[in-house]
Amino acid sequence: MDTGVRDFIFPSKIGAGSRALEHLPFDLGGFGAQRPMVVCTEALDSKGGLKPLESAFKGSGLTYGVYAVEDMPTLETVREVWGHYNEGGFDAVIAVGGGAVTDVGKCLAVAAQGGPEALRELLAGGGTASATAPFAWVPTLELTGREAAPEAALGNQVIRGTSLCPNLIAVDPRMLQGQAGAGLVEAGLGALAAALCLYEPVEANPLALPYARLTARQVVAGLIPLLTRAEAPRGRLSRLFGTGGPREEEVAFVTAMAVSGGLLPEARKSLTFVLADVLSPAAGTSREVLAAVLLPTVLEYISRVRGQDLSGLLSALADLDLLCATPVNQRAEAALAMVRETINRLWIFSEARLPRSLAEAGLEKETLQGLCEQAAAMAEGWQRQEVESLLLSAWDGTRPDPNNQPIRATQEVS
Amino acid sequence: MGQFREVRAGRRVFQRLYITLMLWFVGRAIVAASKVDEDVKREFEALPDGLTFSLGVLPDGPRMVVRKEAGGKVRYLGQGKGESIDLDMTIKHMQAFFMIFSFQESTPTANARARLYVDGGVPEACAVVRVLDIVQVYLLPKFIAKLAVKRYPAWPWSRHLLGRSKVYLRTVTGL
Repeated sequence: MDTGVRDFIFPSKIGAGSRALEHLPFDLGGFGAQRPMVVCTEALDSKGGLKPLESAFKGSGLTYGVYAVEDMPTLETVREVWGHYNEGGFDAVIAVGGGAVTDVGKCLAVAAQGGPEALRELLAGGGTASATAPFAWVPTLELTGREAAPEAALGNQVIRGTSLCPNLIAVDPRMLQGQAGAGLVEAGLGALAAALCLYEPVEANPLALPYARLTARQVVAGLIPLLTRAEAPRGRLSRLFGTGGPREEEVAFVTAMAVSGGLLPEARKSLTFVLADVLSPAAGTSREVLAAVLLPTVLEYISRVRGQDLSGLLSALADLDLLCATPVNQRAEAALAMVRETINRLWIFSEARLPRSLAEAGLEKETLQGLCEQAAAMAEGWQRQEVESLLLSAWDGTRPDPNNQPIRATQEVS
Repeated sequence: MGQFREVRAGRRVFQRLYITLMLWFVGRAIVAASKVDEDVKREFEALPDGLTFSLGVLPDGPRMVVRKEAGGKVRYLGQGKGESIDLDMTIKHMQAFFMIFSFQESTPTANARARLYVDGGVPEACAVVRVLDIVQVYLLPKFIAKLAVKRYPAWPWSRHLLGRSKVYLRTVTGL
């Protein structure tokens, strides 16, 4: 039942831009923290990826610990890092990197408050974390888009809670070195899907839409330049006289990725993510990629078959000039074309590995029809025939045909 | 499993020395400019008597403390240890302060990048920033001062020449 009450929580403070890392000692001081524990990957540490952070702490008078995660983290990893944390009297956690490292950081922040046993119980019961130590996140290009989300995963076990969102996010261009990989394409697609699927409901959450617009626009504008950029010149002289310009686009893109994490709880309620959740185990593709494959079809179905007004979608993707230049009645079509074009262009950068339809994602048509029942049961307000028709369109990548659709029940329409 | 190490953050000796010297010089130059320049005089007249302001760097870096005494006289109090501060302007990081005072980043840009925080009245802080801008124009040659201030002022050459000479003379001699 729709109560008409809307809420949206994004509790992280984001500091993005030139030398943003140097705000960290001051900002951590605001939480009363003086001995942070840095968690990163062994690869990042050994390649000198922590140098900007070390430089930022220079002159701060702080002592900090560095824990380099070597392999896929488990509860034992968290137990070990918690041992160092506890013995060393540390009082805050800084995760540098993305994906599993931030999960270790979040779990450590939970264990820092209640001990590793409390964390184990939470993981076993799928519980909600209520309190954590101060937690900061420094993104690199090893992103998944889930880092700022109110959740953490160790293996297959997940804990949730608003307190798992980072208290501080520092997006510093010096940490965004190196070449973007295929993982970033998947993360970008997931963020785009998380942002645009918020336009699915008839009454979209107005509190979340500004964040969705920011995410979608920056992902569309920033991801492809990031994938095609030349490697930054090394050495001081090269930096002075070389072609390495300001990395504002990268910073804007990574900031949008951080914001997209906050959109995930809202996005999970959407049909796109519900279907992606159902199909992901059968497809063997990540939920984020499947959500991006499903997104254009779901939006097209909503617009073309259900007749819902999606003209607002263009404001999330285009700049103001294009928005004003496009007549209101053409905006939904223009936005949907932009979504398709972005996904298709990313297919090139993934060396044709990125699926553009459910068939390319490895799903058989029969498997799909078998999953329709389960998907329809989970998708609130959608009939089985509608879901089936939609999935079949997404399977072969065709646009849903409004003249060839099952008729919806009268009470459903009302 | 992984590898653990404990790191003690290093020190910035050169930057600390440079900033200490610059703050000492700028502090004395503010006093000199308050006697020489009409705009600086006006800014100080608008400030309440007894107002003490400081400009420093976290966590325990050097700072300069200046007070406007009753009667409009301006005094530089050095590091101002034990002084009660009414307006505390602090740069969050030594590197940020070094960039401002080595003119790699202008004061407005540093403000925009949230490098400065103010404990005290914002109008008074704005007045102090304006005074600092004028002092920087006096102390620095044009090509450097343009990097430090938002807009280089169009003063008559006499103000540049005579004012600069007087400010430098009073700053060095302390008269």
